[in-house]
Amino acid sequence: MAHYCDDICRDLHLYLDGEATVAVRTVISAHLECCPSCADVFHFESQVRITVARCCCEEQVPESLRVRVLRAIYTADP
Amino acid sequence: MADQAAFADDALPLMPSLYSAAMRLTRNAADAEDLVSETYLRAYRSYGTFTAGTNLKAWMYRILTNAYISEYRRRQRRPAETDLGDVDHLYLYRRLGGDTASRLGRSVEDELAALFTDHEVKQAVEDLPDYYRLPVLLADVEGFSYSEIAEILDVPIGTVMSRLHRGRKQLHKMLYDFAARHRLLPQEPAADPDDGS
Repeated sequence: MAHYCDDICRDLHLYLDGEATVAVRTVISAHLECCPSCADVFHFESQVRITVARCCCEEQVPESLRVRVLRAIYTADP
Repeated sequence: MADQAAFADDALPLMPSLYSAAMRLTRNAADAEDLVSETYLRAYRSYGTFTAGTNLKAWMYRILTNAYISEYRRRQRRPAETDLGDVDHLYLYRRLGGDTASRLGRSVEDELAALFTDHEVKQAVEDLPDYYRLPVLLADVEGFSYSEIAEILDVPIGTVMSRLHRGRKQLHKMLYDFAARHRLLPQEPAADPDDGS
């Protein structure tokens, strides 16, 4: 991996987090257009995140919890 | 100032994501239900201090996090910070990425699904120490920005960034350990779950 690619990949998380500056975003987006190996790294990392998010946010709220929260709110003194 | 009568309408739609986060934090349904219930009660009581039109989800997560820390975290011994010196920021990619996916002609999504089960992914997140698990959940599962996470956890943005960075590295290392066990991939000394360090 070229030195320039190392620099691009160092900002991978900043970029995927949507926290890179406009200037950095522009540079990275342009690089990903023409560098398949960096594009592959970014795609892999974003898919790992999507997998983690999918596995961690699919809990079904028990009906008993909804009832309990509503009851707590309606009987609590504000 | 927010209208307390509107609390249920505004806050109840957030329950699925709060409950999922509570499950990852407490690691069991009974404690997660207690935590979510406590969060709603605290939020309802102080809803008058919430500024209408600002970020209700971040405000609720801040209450959830504080309730978790005060009610649950004190029960656990604080683990020592793990030494991640040898784990680089592309740890998982260098071991599982690129060539495995293209060689088998499968998408990265399918490849990841074959490497670890949904249960193992949850397990890896739940096994992270709190100081990594909270920022990782808030960023990667809930999609909060660094400044929102800093607000929720009441730490500087620099701390959020370094914990996220290290937390993701540790998460990737744990995911690799699961994949290595399934696929008989080489386990590195640092990835040995029995080495006790």
